[in-house]
Amino acid sequence: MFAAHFAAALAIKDRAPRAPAWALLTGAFVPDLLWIPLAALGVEPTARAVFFDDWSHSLLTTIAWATLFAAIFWRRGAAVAVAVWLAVFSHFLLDLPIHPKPLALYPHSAVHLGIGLSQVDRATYWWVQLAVLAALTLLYVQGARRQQVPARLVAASALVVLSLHLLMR
Amino acid sequence: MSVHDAVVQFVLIVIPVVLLALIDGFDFTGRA
Repeated sequence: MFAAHFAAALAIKDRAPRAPAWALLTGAFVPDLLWIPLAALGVEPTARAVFFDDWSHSLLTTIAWATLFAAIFWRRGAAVAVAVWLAVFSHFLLDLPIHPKPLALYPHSAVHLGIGLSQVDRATYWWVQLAVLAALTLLYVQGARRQQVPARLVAASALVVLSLHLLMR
Repeated sequence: MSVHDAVVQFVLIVIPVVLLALIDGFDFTGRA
């Protein structure tokens, strides 16, 4: 998943308006932001045959990253910290159905989670992502309307997220 | 992953984060 992570952060923002948008958006990508240097260093190889991202993306490490990242915002209140925690953990939930390799329970665990969609073809994956993105964007729009966010801002955000997905085609 | 690829991946995340945060009103303190 890519653009759907942004949509998830926006949907959370509308349900936790005191949480900074940048924190939720960044939080939704914490596993990837950790994966990038780990992959570049070779700790998490990206070649298909040896793909490994347990340190950045497994269930237990994602919970740990979420807790550490949310702790930064604890002084802003429990509601903000919980929202940030959820933003980070949403990354795991969105990657769970489809990922290059089923997500591990913890680093080097023999137990992997998922629903067996990891090997779908690229086109199918794109449409599945679009469906998830659409659902999350609808959630965002509903929440934004309740929060009385100006319609032009909601439309702009939705357009950016959708454009990101189209660019990834 | 090469350093170049890593930088590209990083930029692909950071630019939308900044853009969406800007749209949200550069909301560093929360909307409410």
